Amino acid sequence: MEDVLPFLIGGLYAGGVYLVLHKSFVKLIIGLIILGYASNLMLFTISRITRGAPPLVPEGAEALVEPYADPLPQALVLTAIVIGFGIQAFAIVLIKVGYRIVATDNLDDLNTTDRLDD
Amino acid sequence: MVLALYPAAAFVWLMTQFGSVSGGDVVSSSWDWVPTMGISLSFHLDGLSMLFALLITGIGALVLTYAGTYMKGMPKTDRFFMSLVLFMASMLGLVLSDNIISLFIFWELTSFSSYFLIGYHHEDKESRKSALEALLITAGGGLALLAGLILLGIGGGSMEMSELVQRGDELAESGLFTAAMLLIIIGCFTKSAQFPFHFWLPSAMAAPTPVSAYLHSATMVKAGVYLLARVSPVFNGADGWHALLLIFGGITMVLGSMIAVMQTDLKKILAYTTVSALGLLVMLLGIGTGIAIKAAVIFILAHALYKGCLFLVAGIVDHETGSRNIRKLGRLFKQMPVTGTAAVVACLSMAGIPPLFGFISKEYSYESTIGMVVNSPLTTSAFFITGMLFVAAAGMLSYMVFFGRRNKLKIKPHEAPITMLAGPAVLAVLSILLGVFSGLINPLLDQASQVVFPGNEPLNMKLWHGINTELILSMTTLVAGIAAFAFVYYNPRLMSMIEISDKIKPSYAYKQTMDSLAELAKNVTQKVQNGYLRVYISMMVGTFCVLALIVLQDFGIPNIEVLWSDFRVYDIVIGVLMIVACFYTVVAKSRLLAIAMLGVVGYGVAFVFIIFGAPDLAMTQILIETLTVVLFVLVLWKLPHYLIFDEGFIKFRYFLVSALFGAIMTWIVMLITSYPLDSHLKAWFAESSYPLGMGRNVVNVILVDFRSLDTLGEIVVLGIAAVGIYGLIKFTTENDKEEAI
Repeated sequence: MEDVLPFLIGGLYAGGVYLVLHKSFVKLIIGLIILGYASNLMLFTISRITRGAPPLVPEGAEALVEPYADPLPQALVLTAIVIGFGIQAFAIVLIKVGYRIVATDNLDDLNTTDRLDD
Repeated sequence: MVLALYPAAAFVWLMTQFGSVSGGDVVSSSWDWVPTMGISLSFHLDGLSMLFALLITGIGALVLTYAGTYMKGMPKTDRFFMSLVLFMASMLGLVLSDNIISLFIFWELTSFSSYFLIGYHHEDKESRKSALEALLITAGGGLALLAGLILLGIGGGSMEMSELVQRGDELAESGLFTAAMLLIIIGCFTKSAQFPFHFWLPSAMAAPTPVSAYLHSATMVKAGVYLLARVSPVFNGADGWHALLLIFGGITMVLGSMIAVMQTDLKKILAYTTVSALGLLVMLLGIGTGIAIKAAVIFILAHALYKGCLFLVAGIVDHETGSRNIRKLGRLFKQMPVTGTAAVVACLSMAGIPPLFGFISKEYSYESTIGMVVNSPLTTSAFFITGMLFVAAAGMLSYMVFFGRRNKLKIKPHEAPITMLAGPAVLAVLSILLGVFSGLINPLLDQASQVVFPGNEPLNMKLWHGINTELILSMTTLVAGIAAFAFVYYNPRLMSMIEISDKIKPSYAYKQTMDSLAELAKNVTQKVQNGYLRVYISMMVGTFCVLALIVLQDFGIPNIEVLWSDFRVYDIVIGVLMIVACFYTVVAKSRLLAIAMLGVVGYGVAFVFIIFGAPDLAMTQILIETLTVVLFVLVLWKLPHYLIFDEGFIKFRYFLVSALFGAIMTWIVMLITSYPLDSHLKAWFAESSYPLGMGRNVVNVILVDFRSLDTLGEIVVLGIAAVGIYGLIKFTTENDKEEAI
């Protein structure tokens, strides 16, 4: 699987960016979520992965014995997942509220504050 | 009014140094600022600095006294006086600085403070435009000046002006001579309103009159002349120096005086005669002979005295009558005798009539043009024309305002209060006094001319030189000038018919440049900031790809060796499943399908975590994935049909960008994992978790113990998100209610 993961990550990145480049607000958010997966997996992978050895100190032992998975990137990814969720939840509600106010899901209709010509 | 005490005190202090400086001594003091770059705050008081410093503080005190009354009742006077005093201090710093960098900084400070002063009536569009014009031109020239000064410093091997003026030869050897000279000349020409940059000065008349009196007669516009005089010992003798100064000074001089007599606004007449006077000064510096330098320093003083006085008079007339149009004004002498007398005296000095100080100045100017080796006739006749037009302008400023035809004013004017009269009166008295007793100021002016032209013959000013060519020319000028004035006076219609096409004015070129710059900026912004999110993002991603490829080209493509020994079927199944789910998320035609497929991808990620020994991550991922999908469905199920736009136009281009990005990320991950990792932290956490943190789940110990502050931050972020969501829902429902009502 170690050799499959880079392609999986690349595929997720490509899909995420492609979705973000769409007009629809919902697709933008879905794209961001997929980019989040890709980034978490990437962080997880580049700090080396160890199969089937969770960093749990067995009963009676004082420390972990090799082989065991690196606990630090796991802690970082855990934080990233939770924070990512905060952003997702906010963005989903924003879609809803935004739709109720401007009655559109089209990002191109929401860019008037960014335009010079009108 | 109280503020006037500061410049007055400085003036008094300067007067205490008068004796020693006139004797040829130099007062100086210095503080280090950025010693490693040779930048220091070093001040240097010699004859030339003294002349300017006295004008700045003396006229400054008078103008502040005057402005105290003039500005009464106007809004924001505190701001005005702050800018004025700031300007005064910067100007003083400029003429006293010896270090070229601190000189430049003071130079720019004068530009900035004058920007605020010219733009004082900031609710007036014209005023803002004039202020910006002055700022852009003088600060733009300031950039050239900075470059020129730095070149001068590098070439001459010193940052101190007093050293540099003795190192002309070193500068010439360094090869930077011409470049430094041209850049400094450009800087000085913009500041001193030389053709073709002259137009900012007349527009700057939008400033309140005390500002015009101070900045545009005696100080700011003379800064360029000051600096040209200051560097004159270095460049005097170079070919380009003479030609440039002579030609541009001459053009400015003649043009300024010609436009001046066509004006009807008092301040515009004064502005254009000032432009002309600055041209004369530059021209005299360009002639560069001993006598011309003498003429220049004398004229600096003479001009400051009469022009300052006339500006103040124009302010009084404007203040008391509400008009500055010389066609409407007239016969004000009876109502305003003191103002009138001051104006007449100043105008006589301007016209160069003995025994006033302006007369002496004019004699010297004639002497220098006559004494030129080449081009003497041309220069002399140019000066003759200017002198003649000066006489005419002087007549317009005095006769047409205080005598002449009956005025067409609605109100009855009366004399101004004493605080306003003090300024013009003192300056007018000085014009007479220094004319009759020129010995009083002779030593200082002599020193100033020695500074500009080392080894100049001693100056010995006299009113009466006997009957010679200069006197005859001077008198002829006077007669011709009176004739010119009579022509202007009796042919008002003819004068007002003269119109100059806008297209040949340099101000038109300026306007065109500014307009096209603004247009260009707008076009570029519209292209770059076009409001389409996908364009921004594809730009960012594209830039990242290009930069990454530049770096990555040094590395090869890593080998793809599938380790068959460590190969599991379910790995492949999960991997393929995730890719397929991701693909369907992208192409899904219904929102529900997209969300469901997103869920599949998320659970797939959780599986990866499980396989590689991260049960905590897997649990969190599953929990959060479930929550996200539920939230998505709950919040979005009511939305109308999933918006499928006709996006054929973006498809291919954006697909390419995304695919490239994905490929690069794959490459990066493969590259990184192909190098060995050396982490001490892994072992440290593995050993310390139980003894120090008393926990067997190392990941949990890290989160709640070793890095608990991070976790606190994370909780805060979640809390903020929750508050935000609550606010979004709450805020909009209230809005909806209001709309319903």
